[in-house]
Amino acid sequence: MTSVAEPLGLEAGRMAGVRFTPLRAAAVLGALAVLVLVALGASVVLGEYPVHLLGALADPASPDGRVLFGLRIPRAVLGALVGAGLAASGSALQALLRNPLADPFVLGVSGGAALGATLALALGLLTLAGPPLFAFLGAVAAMALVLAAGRSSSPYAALLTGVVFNAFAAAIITCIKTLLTPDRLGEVLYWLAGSLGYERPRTLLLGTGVQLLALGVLWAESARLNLLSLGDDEAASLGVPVHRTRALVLLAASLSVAGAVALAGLVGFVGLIVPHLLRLWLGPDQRLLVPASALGGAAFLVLADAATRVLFPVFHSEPPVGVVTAVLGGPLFVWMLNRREHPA
Amino acid sequence: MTAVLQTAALAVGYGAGPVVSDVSLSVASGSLWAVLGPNGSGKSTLLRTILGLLRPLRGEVSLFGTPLARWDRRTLARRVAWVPQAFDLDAGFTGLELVLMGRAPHQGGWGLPGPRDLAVARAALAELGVSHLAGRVVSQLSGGERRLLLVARALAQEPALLLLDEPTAFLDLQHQAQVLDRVRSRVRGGLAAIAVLHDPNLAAAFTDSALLLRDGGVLGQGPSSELLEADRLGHLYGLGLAEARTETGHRLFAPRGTP
Repeated sequence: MTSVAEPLGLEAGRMAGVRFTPLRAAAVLGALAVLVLVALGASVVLGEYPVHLLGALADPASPDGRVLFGLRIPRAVLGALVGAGLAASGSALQALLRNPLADPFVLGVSGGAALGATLALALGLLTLAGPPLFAFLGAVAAMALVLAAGRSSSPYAALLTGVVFNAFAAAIITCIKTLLTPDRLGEVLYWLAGSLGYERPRTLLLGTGVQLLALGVLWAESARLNLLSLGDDEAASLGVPVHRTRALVLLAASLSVAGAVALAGLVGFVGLIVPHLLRLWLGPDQRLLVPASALGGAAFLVLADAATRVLFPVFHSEPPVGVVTAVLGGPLFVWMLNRREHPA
Repeated sequence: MTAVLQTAALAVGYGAGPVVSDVSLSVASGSLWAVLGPNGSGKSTLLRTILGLLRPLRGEVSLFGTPLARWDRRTLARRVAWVPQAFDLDAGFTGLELVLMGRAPHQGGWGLPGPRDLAVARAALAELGVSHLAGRVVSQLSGGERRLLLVARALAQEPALLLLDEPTAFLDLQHQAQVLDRVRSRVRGGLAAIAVLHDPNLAAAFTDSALLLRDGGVLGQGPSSELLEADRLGHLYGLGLAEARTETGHRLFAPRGTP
């Protein structure tokens, strides 16, 4: 019996064929962290009101300083938080559901969170815990539904369930909107469009804590996520406690998405665009994709939000950042779907 | 000597009623078993039950002297490996990355491969003659190449019991023989292996023992050299079989014609 000897390829590099190494991960994450800093820097100086950075830093009490510290920096931090949460949980959900088209928005998780938060706003629960808590409950409910559907054999069952659930959530939200007074309606509408506005430092701090916790769990589970992307049975045969890992990842992703939706409303497709581009670059290993998506998502949303402010003179108002992400993400989704159905 | 695998009056199935009942099996280390039977006779279901992916409907399974229910996934995965029948991976891992996943139960939770893990994975690739697939993306490989990588992954897992669900499906003749030959040399080194096969000729050529499943029960079990003969196999598959011997002494079975 002949065996194909491999005299050269084997020695081409001890790690050839293994793309996840601590060194590479550190280099990639370092580069992405620099990108986030650049995006934050660009974001705080861009806008209708040009800020002179040096002057603002020197005198925080000056008009420039007040705009920088009071408006621009909190908003940039908010964008980074929301982008990081949506992109990293998108990456994790794609591995878990074995479908690169899975995205918190498409799966209906954002819709569930929006429904929860709308309910809270409509009921006047405007305390710190009201909308976020309801958003979390809505996200978990949607996720449970998707999980139940995702157990069936078709990888599209979860997506279709999400689409249906989104329609359902939208109908309920519309129903709630008709019952609202005009001022409260305006609040809900702007929030639903997916916009980054002003949040109090305390809220931002809480949001940061939530995202760190949720993304920490996702990163800790990322090696098991790699195995789960082979399918539940194979993962189990390789030693993964499947039910526990699934539950943990779904809870963490729900927490992260709920945290993002509660702060910024419906910002779609970030969880699709960012992990997809990074997967093309880095490969499918979630140990690298989860943190890279978090950083990439942060940079992406901060830049997209800065773009809305640059577009101000065109529209004579700021389009919500969710519009920018949807305009980019919708066509990408259709393109990916086509490529998946008709691979080259 | 404790049996690697022992089942007693085992009934397996998916809840609606057993697919196979009364399987009492004792598999020792250093033996290679074939599971033969027509489509739908419960061969894969039996393997999945032994692996703990399905609960037994009745009866008992014990592995290395311990009841199946008492094993936790990770410890079990260090002792038992599985080559699944269907493989549908879209994720884009490379051949080496896939084979390294076989090392997961031996590694820390985060699965960073050490030098030994890499050496074991590369040796498994070489053992199956697929070292050239190490850097290739699995989703772009042929069904046969994927199958070879799955067998390599199972060998990299360094199991004491290897469950192979149609390991020769999608493989050309040379690779069918190669896979079973590699498994058999591991078995000579002390591995216990159970392979679901569809080709009685391969079973006769490579396995020590056979389990024949038909009509929800066990049609026969025992040494392949005695058990595998034309009449019994003809009954198993429901068609007339002719038997011949090669000059090397191998038994060959072929259909007599349309049943």
